[in-house]
Amino acid sequence: MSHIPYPFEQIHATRYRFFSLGRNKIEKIVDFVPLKPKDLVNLGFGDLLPDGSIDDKIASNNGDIRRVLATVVMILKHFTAQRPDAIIYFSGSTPERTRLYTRILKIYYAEFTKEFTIYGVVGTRQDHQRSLFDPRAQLNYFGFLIKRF
Amino acid sequence: MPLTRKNNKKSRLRKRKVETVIIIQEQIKAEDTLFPEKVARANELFKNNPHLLDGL
Repeated sequence: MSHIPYPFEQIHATRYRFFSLGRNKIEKIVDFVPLKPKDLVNLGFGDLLPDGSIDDKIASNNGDIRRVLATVVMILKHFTAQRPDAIIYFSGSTPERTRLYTRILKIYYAEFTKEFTIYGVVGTRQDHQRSLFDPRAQLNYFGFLIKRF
Repeated sequence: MPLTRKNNKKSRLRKRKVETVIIIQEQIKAEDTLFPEKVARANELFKNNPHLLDGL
């Protein structure tokens, strides 16, 4: 991994937290929630606000995005080591954020595919298709599915 | 006999504590999430496109 992840804490079975220590100290939450299809789990990630809610649209501009995402990758590895059958689905809260995740997956592709199969979900609002994530493709992904093998 | 009864009570209490922990872990539901919109969108996506999970 090209960036050293921040230390993280598993608050309970499906929720993790860590602190982004860039320009400011920001508490980050990573939440895994079971979806209706069996073994499918949604990954949510955002900043914890003072009122206890989460902002997953904010661009924190804390100067450490690569390190923050390296930490999310480590958390994903930790969670799927505990639940190897889980299929993780995630997408950005905005198209820009999904494009950012696409760039990150491209950066970590070689390392990630040693342990995981990555699929991209593409399509229109009505009709979606799944295909293996191709780091060379210039596609606008809707979301991603990740499965440990 | 009283000793046995006491031990049985202890054992029942221990069992109840273990069961409580298991229930807490298993009862994490979508409504408990901090990302309800995202979870709702994901559920809608896979409801309308169940083929996305074929073979996984």
